[in-house]
Amino acid sequence: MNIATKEVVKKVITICPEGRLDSFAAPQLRSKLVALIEAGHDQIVLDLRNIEFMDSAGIAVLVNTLKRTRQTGGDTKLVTPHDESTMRMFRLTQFDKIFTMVETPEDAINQF
Amino acid sequence: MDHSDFNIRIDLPSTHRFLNVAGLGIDAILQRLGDLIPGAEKVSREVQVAAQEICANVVDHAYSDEENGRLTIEINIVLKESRLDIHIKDTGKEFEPDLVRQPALGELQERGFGLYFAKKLMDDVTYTRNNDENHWHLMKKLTIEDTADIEAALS
Repeated sequence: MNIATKEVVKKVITICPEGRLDSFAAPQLRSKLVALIEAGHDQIVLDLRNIEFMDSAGIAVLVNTLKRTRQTGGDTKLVTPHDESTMRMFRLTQFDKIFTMVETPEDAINQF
Repeated sequence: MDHSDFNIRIDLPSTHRFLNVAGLGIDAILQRLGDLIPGAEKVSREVQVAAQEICANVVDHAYSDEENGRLTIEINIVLKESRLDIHIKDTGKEFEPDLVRQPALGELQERGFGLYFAKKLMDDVTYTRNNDENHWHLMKKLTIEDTADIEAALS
């Protein structure tokens, strides 16, 4: 009997949005993420450390990405924002309990 | 109005592209009052999110059928009363509060958090419709340690 062993390496894509993730910027980020997911990348790290402001439009993009990646067996992990008010958006929505949120991109990649 | 009252008005086209002007305007004002308002940076972030959420709501819903709508954002700070008021006005369609549902927290819901955030971050949020005009009033209480020194600081 031959037992073939094949190593499959799946890429993790890290995205680092910066500045204001509001109702104008959110669709741009959404388009980028949708394109990546449709290209087969369903393991995504969103590094939010340089986000200075985020509103509900930004939250919607993150949730949409999580749902899309999970649909194909992947996942979306977040690097915790440094901005306290952005972090508060997660607590108010309880998304801090739904997303895997870690301190560094390396920690996030290791979660896959 | 005395020297410790500030009233600043911003007039914007109904587009998401320039709603940051409202948020950054609020931030600029509070930065310049940072020596009088402890925690001004935190207050600024909270008020910015609340104001931009309401403005985004106006663009998406009140002006959903109108390209040339305008929003006015009036920022009124009365230091002696330790309060900050934001008045957002538009002439678009009437807001229908009965259509707004409380978000399902902890579920993978994408939309419906705008008004929820505004209410959580401000001390009071009210909506009225008068003479074909929508009027949102957002109020935030400020913590000002010594109002007696305000006039001296601003003179």
